[in-house]
Amino acid sequence: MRLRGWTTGRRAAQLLRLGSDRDETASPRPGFEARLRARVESGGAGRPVPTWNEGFESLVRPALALAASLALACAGLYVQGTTQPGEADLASLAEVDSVFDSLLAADPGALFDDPGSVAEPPERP
Amino acid sequence: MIDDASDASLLGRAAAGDAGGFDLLVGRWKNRLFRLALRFFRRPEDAEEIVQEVFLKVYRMAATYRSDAPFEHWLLRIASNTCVDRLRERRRRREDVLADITPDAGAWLDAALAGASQEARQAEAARALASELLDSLPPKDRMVLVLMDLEGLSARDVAAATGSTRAAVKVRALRARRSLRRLAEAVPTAREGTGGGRG
Repeated sequence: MRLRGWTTGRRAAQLLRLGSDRDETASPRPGFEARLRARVESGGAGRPVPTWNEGFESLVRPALALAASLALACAGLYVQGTTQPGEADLASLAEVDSVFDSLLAADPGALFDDPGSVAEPPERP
Repeated sequence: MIDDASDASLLGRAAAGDAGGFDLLVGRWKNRLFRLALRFFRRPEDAEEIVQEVFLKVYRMAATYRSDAPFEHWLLRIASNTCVDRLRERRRRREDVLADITPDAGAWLDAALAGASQEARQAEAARALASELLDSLPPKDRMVLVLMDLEGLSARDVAAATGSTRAAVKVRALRARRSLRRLAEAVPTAREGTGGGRG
């Protein structure tokens, strides 16, 4: 049994050696460098990753992020500064609400009235 | 002397667009890579194509090299990945390879595995058949076996060359040797004839 395992192991090692056999002095055919250079120059290698890319990563990208943040902050401040209390905001809606009016007038009974029978609040000037 | 420059500095020059630096690097490593590729691809044209592909990748990725890792490991990782990718493309099922074995080729391979001397033509046929059989192994397994058992690399070096851990390399090597033994057992012996497909 052990002998069979040893034989199998030896055959396996021999199979690997045999199937991976190569000439120890082999080298590419003459002109290898010229063929490679032709492929590099024809764009076969694609564009090399430029070294300035690292500068872009470390300097330009954070600067762009900072500029974008500043632009957003400025836009927010501008919107806040130009907003006027108008009819579209929540405060003005509450002011013309009948329930809100009844509460302001200290008349909580209006809360339990039929909504259809509640009189329209007087028009505000 | 410019040829004494380190691989890393030559690569740096190549990244900066210096063709001379790249040429020196190619001249320094082409034979080593070619002989490694021949382990997997028997036809010299195929092996040369692999080496060219490796150098094209080196040229394109030169600026991404970090000098804290040895250049040889970085280069070997590119080479092993390129070989593995190509092996994946041409991988065949073991059963199919075994089924194609002719009686003569099977007998020659069996004799070669037993260490018997043969005529040159028979020895060549046995080598070709052995290579076809190895093509049926998982490519990464075959890569680890070749690097460790034939190229003499340590598990640590193989881990660095394949982007893996030493423990993972050892586990893979164990599994690969088991697969190789099964493959060797499946090769028909002269006594059995070449029915193929066993195992």
